[in-house]
Amino acid sequence: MHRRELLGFISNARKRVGLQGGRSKLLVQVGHCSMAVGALEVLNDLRREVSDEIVVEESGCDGACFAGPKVFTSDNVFKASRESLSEDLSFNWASGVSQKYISDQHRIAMKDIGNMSAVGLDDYLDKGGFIGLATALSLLSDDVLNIVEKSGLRGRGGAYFPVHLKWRSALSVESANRVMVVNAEEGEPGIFKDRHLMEGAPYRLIEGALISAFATGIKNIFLYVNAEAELAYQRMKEAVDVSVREGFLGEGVLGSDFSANIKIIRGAGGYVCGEESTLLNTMEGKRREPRLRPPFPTESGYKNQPTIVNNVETLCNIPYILSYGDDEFRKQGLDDCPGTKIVSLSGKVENPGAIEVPMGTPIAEILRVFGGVEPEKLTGIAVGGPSSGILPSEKSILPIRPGLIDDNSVMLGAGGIIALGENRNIIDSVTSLAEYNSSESCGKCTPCREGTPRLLELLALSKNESPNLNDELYKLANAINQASLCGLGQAAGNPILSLLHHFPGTVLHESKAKGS
Amino acid sequence: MKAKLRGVDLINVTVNGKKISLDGGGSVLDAINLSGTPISQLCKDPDMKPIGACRTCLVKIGGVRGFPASCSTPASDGMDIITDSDDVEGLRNTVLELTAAMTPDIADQNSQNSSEFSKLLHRSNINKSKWDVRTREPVDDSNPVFNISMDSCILCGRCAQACQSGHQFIGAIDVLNSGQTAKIGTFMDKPLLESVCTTCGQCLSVCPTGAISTKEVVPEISETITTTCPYCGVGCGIKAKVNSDDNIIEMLDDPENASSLGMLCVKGRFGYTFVHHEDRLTEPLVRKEGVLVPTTWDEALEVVATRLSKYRGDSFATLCSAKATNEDGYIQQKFSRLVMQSNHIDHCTRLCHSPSVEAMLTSLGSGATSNSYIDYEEAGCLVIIGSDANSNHPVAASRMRRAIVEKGAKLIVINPRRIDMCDYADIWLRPRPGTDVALLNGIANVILSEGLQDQKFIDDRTEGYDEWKETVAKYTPDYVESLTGVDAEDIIQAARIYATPPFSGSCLIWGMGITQHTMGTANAHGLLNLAFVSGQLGKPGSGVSPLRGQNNVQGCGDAGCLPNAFPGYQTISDSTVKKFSGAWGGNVLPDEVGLVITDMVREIDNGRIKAMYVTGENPLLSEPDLNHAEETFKKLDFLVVQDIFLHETAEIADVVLPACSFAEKDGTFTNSERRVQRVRKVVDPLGSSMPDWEILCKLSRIISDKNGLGIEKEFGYENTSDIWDEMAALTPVLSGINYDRLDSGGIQWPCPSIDHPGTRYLYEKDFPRGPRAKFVGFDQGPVADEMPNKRFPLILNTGRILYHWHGGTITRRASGLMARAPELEIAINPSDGSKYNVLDGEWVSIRSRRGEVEGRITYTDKMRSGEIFIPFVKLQKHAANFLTNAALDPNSRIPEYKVCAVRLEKV
Repeated sequence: MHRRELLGFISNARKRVGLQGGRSKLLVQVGHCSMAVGALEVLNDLRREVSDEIVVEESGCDGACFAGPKVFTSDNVFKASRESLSEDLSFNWASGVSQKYISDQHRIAMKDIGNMSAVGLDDYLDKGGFIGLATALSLLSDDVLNIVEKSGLRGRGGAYFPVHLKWRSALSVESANRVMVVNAEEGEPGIFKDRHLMEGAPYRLIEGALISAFATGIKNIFLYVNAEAELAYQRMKEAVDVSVREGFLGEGVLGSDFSANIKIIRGAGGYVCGEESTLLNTMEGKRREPRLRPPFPTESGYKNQPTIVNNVETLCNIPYILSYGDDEFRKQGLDDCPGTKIVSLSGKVENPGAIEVPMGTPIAEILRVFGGVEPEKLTGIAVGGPSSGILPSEKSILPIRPGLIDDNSVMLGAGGIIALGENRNIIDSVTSLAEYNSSESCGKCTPCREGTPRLLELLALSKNESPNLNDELYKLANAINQASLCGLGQAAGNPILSLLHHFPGTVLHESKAKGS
Repeated sequence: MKAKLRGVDLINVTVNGKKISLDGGGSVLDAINLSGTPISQLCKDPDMKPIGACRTCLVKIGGVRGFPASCSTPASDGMDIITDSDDVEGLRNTVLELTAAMTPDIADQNSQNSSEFSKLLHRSNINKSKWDVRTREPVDDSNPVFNISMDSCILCGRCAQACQSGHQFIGAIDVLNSGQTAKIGTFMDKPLLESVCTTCGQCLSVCPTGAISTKEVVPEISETITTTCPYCGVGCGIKAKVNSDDNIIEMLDDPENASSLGMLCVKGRFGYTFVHHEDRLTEPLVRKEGVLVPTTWDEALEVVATRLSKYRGDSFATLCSAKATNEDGYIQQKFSRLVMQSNHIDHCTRLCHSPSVEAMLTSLGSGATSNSYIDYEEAGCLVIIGSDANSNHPVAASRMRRAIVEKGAKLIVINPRRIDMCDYADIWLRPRPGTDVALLNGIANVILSEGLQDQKFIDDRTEGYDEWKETVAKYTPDYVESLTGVDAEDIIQAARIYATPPFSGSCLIWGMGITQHTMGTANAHGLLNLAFVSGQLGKPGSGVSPLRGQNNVQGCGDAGCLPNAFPGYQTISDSTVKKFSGAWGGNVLPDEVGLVITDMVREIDNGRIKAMYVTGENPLLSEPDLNHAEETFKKLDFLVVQDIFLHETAEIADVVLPACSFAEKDGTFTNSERRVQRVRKVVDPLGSSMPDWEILCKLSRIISDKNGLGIEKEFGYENTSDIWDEMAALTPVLSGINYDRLDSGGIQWPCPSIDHPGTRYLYEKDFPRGPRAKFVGFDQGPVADEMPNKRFPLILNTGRILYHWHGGTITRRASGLMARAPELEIAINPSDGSKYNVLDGEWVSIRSRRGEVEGRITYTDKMRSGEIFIPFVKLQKHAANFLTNAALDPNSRIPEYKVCAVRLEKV
């Protein structure tokens, strides 16, 4: 179909759904984080208090979590008259507190989050939404695949596997049907980027999923949302309904002959559900435990069909690549991993939040510029969650990138960075990560199920100044990593390995050698 | 995908430098095992898919990162596999140490445990765990046969796999909880006995640690002999383990068996103990002064020969055993025809599938199941009607569940009872008892009115279509709903699915619920008509299956134990009489068709039949209206019973001859899918018991000698292979089968020549009756002979339960089975409980016009209000057939076991 017709469809829709009569908008940034500091109250109060001329809508949180609740408006006249609102209404103007925080980032996936409605379709269309899809639909699916390949996009769920390879792998398997699953399980502690994306730019995720489905000839898309991410679920549900109603999803997308649907499924609970084969098991109503590979999900996934599982953030990059071109996308980030990464920054920092920065940005810069903390003042930096390890502050010069960023045991993973303050005991921190791995073990394979609690036993002994157990710890952590069945078990030893590698003196008690 | 690869190309790999060739599609572990290199493989069962949980089979592969689990890694050509480098051995040992820490008792070097896991630990020099002991779950000892002890469990998951998709598709056990709290347990973590567990023991057979093991410990050293299960018609392969005292000590499944694929049910695995039961008959008994007293074979055979010599001809009748071998059956019908000059030969099929056989003979020309169990697995739709396959054909039912769960086949259950298979059904039709003709006509009506019929099949391969079409025309869904109580919309849906399954074909599977009615033959025709109109016959994944109840009921008929036909259903005619007379030494043979069993009973009453020879049958438990049957049998001048136990019929016999059980003899059984399989002698005959064929041959020679018949040499067989060869030579459908061929697995007849592979499904091109199958239409008649009234307000339905086999003569003598079902259970709907003021678990009496039984009330939603179910097993002197009605189906002469009127009384 010709691109002009597709764009025509979009502009017609925009006329249909846009605000009538030149009214202006107030956007209250309601996210799972800002709800904790009263965003919903602000929303309700504003709705009650402002005149009918002003539309009050929800947007997602712009990522400056430290500053909520926040309200955005482009209506400066209204903004100037803020005084007319009652006094107990307490919020910040988004453009003030978070402007620099955001302008220092490079936003692709999180673009315009906080500045556009998370409910209505109009703002997203105003910001150029669905133009990427229109571009894709005007091309052959193979061309779209080639563009994604040229962009060098890698998966943002933590494994950084080249997206085009995954897609082509599913396409290479003979099958009547293929399935796409959007992995929005986001179960690990200290990660909140996918929630921000779904809460703030639900239509972008839909657009990205549709482009991917078109490229891979898929009709059935499942969106697997973490059971606890209620707001993300509500926003996605609404956006799916609106998209279907307006012809952006379902039969004949944008008036073309491409059809695809999205079905939302709630997660089954637990860290391991984010592991893609476990996720597929739970979708089929089976026990939440990983499957064997081979076959890989791209060969035989959901109900034995070739299945592409992509992370939310991954898909949210795709509209940009189609809209602006792969060259533009490659301008950010690393040669072998172009683009940006959303970092979920928390812990002992001044300004926690979701930050999108180019791949290759040094951790120290993230901490300084956005977190407002000097890395030297930290005991350590937990990067990449419980499947990774802890870096000492002097290693914070390392850039974020796929794989082991310290060439030992620390990975960026899904992009969590937790700053550990000066008074934090490093063994305690490692122990909490190890405890998490142990308690989240699904129980299927022996090394993870039996090994992770034994690691805790050894850690406890080490802390209580018993003999030097470093060799024992290393042997067991390494065996868990080498022998376990799924990606979670294969990383469950990392916190301990990072402890032994980066903080050798911490565990080493120079007492009697071990008997064995 | 796997099937395509299997056996296609050989690939070459090296294992620790040693060159190995294996089938493409094999795993790295397969290659290692082929090379003879020892490697731990705790969670990989040889007959199930890899689980990948134990992580003890890790290897290194040249060019591959890390240490993949060999069980779940496909081998590929040129692969360099290393199992013995320090790093990978160290890794495996660390995992083994973690595993050993789960079961400190097994790890202990003084452990009595002799399991696969224990041996592995000792071989790997892991004899004491360095880790502290964790508290594990206690033992679940609720099951009377085996325990599950988490103390010895390493959570490999093989048991759960065997209970689910690995074998049985029962789903009683699974891994519960997660992480360190993981355990093997049941739904809601109830005791095993309160779960859906059927005690099939598949879990136990795959457990590598002994965590699941029988309550009685099985000694390790023993001989193993492969034979065939003696219970139902599924025909599972079994492997008997025998100790030095010549006792069977354990029964194992046989993964090589093409019918059972390594599965067994509770009866097959734990029901063998009857073989050595103290009640076994070990010497002949002769009635002297009214009492049966032990005697010698010489005396007993002399008495029988002398007495029977007087009844040669029309006054003699014989009942053959569908539990005995083909060879036994062949000899018995030869004895009756040649020695006793009588065609009054029949067997129990008259009481189960004679309507099916009658209808199939009319419409197709052969009474056998048309397809195979593999067709169930390949079908797109299964219709199970009047059959509680879970209880009566458990392993076939597992294969049906595989079709439904794993392959996505649709299931339509038609049954007035909510049988367990309803849990898997897409549609469950619940007709009023006795209204099946209307229901089946209704389904046909929908197929025709919606144009779903296979017109080409109808035009090219059937006759009688137009007349039949007229018959079913009035059976519109609404009309049928009014007759059967089944929702019209459900009838329409069922018709659509059956006629146009989502993929492959449709199979019709039925049991006694179709046949044991006064309309039994009409019911069977109704089913066949459905197969014809939708062309669901003669192609893979389709067909018609009357599931056979006894281990050799197919073979018994095949061997000629029928009043109207010689072996291979060669009906009695001038030419067949001539053929067999010639083959049997040119002697005269009776040429009139004989009496069927139900008519024999009547002719005893009439004084025509005076002497009977009953082998491996207990009519005084299996006949309807038992009080009357006993009076009748007592009228015989002379009754010989040849069996393994002194059952109700034997107790009134003049002579009782001790036969040996399946475990003590050679021969063949033919199962429900026409597969002829070897029965092998496992232990020596108990006492002085002998195989049926040997007794009959001895007797024949004595009678021949006494009467100067000169046919001694016709009964001079050396062994059962000789008997088989004679039968096969006279029976075209069996002529390609011999014992040598059977040694490498069963063969499905027809097998007309020595190089023929056997036949998976029949009727691909034509039918035994000719090129066309015949539509035969029936109208719905009176639903049953006897319907409820004020005095007898309830409808009694009879059948079987999983833990007992038929009348229970055998299963009552298997302790494991008795423990699971010691009392007669009377199933009623709870609403009837309150209506008749009886409580769940109350001991009550059930009375019909003919008799009374007592049993224990079980409330269940499986029954509809107004209907009760009692299995016909006899427990504590109580048997349902004291109640049942002897009304007969006019076409097949089967009694109406399925419907009679009863009332419930407090005791």
